[in-house]
Amino acid sequence: MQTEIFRFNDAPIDAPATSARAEGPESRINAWPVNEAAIDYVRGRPGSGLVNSPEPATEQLILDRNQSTDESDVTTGWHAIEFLLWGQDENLLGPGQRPAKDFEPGDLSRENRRAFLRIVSRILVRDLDYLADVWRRDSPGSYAQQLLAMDPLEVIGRALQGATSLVSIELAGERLAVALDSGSQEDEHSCFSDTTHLDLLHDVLGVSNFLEGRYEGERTGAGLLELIAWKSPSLGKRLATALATAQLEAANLHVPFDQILQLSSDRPERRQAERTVTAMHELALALKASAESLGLHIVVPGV
Amino acid sequence: MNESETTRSAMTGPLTAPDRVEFIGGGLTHFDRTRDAYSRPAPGLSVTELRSFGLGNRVFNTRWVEAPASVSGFDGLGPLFIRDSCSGCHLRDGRGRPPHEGESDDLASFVVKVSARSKRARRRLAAEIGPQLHTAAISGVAAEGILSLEYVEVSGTYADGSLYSLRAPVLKLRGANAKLPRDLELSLRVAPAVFGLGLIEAVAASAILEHADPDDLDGDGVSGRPNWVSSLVHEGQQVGRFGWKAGAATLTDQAAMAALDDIGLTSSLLPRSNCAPSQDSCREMFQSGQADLSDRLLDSLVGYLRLLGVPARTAVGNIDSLERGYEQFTRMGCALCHRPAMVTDDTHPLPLLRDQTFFPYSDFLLHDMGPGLAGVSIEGIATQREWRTPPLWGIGLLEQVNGHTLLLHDGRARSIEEAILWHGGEGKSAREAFRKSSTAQRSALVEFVQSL
Repeated sequence: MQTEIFRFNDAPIDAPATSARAEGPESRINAWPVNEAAIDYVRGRPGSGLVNSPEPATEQLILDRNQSTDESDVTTGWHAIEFLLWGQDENLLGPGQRPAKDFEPGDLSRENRRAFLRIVSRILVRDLDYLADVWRRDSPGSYAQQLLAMDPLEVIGRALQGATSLVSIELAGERLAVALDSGSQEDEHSCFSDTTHLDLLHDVLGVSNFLEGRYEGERTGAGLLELIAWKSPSLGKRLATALATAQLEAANLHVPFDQILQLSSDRPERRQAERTVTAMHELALALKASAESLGLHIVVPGV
Repeated sequence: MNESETTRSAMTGPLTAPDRVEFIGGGLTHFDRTRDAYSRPAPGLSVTELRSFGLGNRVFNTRWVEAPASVSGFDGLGPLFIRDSCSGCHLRDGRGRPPHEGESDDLASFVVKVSARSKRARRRLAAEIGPQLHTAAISGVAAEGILSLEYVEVSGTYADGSLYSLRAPVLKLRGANAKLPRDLELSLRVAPAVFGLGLIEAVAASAILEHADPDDLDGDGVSGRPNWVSSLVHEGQQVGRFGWKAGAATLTDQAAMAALDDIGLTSSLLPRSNCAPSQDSCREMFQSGQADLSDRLLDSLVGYLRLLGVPARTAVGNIDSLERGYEQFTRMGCALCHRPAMVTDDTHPLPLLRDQTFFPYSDFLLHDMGPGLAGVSIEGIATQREWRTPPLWGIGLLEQVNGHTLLLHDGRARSIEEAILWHGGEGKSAREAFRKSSTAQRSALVEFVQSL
């Protein structure tokens, strides 16, 4: 999740298709929300999904079916794997409780499920390898090399466009506000494994890496915060505060997230979740203001 | 300045170079050209608008389930339906298609309108099936039938001697649980794309009526008249704007009707079942009471449709050749109906939609398209041969978003060329102009349309 800020700015993860290359692998890696019934059995529908169809799971079949007839008929990526491992979450106290025997060798469905998990994991690893490869700075013609050859302001602009979009559209919007407004567990980001709070924390950590010039705690170079503080100390302070607040609120989210959705709006857990939405929005505004202080114009809905 | 002057100045002002303009959705234009290109919010949304947009998007993508479900708020599917979500047909907010050979009906992204030539048979069909075929139903209720679709290839020749082939659909109904009349008429309608609709809704009725010429007084061979339809939210007859026959006047009408007809969701505007009068098991299974689609969810859905952004024109490569293409577009008479520019009302309540010049390439009027395309009509005053000019914007991203290039109301055209060659009636002279053009002229035109 720390690398998710590289979405939304024409980088390899989700750049549109051209005559020379296919669209980035984002929708194969991270599509969500998942209609889990397209993959495997769910309560009341024991024969549901590709796993229980008589057709053996193949890479071609799984890729062909991914979001091909409905956006939520997701068959690949993190959340498909998450569902295969945890199963439907009908447990208010914790994550889904898929029994291990679902993966024991045996009947056609179980064999198919084993194959399915193997195949989608392989597809995911291949897509991640591709991304790691195009981000290698020592690989000729890689995206990393293209970035290094660009006007640094253009590179900063791209990163800010991505970070602001992620924080506003995804974090504040689709992952928090939508779930709070719908009250539905299906709108929880990692709804099978109940790791939604960790997704959020690591997404914000990605923003923090970029702003502070750190990766896994290590300083890797100057961060954007220093540049902004040099341009305008007050704006630098605002950005640092917005980042710290977003990190703090994200860390304070009640766990598991789906319990919040059951609560009425006056409950402290829910009010805290709303404060997290606001903190994400404030961070997006501070990122946009920072872009503007550098003469960069970024366009992000709601910001 | 009155409205007609506003429109005219937008047609001739600096923004017109329609061959060059990138912001074809006015202030709603965004630059995402991925397969989510039809799904992006307008860039200028406020934080409150974005929040409501997010919930509307959620409603659009909801897989509705039979009531009562453990999760309340998103149940109430059926009794009869076609798909269990809006996005099932309008995949990624885009355009549906006819079924591929052997594809099961539960993946349909189209509806089939049902009628008959004789009045008596029509009455019986209305009682037994209703105006539209439902290919799916909740447990305990029978679906209305299964569609079978075949094509007949019809070949033709361009004036320069090169050949083309068009496919005409032949629709049949199998396994219907009603006695079907001999003079049964079926017409397939694919789900249209749903982006940019807020702009279309925000055009003043007078600006649409201004282009109407029902008696072809200007003698250009193109008449064009508005569809007049009733509305669930306004008194009196309104100008129809949405749907293949312009059968809906507002987005609220369109959303509430589609929710009921296609998914089986009741709303406070349409609190009835979608069963036909003599479908007893359907009527028994229908649960009246609370609306399936609450006012809050319907409002957010409509707000979502209103504020979906419009993708900028696809990378405009060679400006000279696009200029040549646009020349052909006007020379052949395409622009008489596929009007490039429109302007929204300057009093619209949403500032984002106020006084926007945009380029839908449609006049939103009904035109006689000839007998070859004719299809069942039950919408307003539209006849079988009349169709609303469909907007052309975003057409260049169709393959990227929806994985196909199938055009026209039933997806029979496999390409832009074929769609043009199907034009009849008022579109006949444009079609003939296309047919008689050189290969270079034809490809310049197609490239231009593809750039939209």
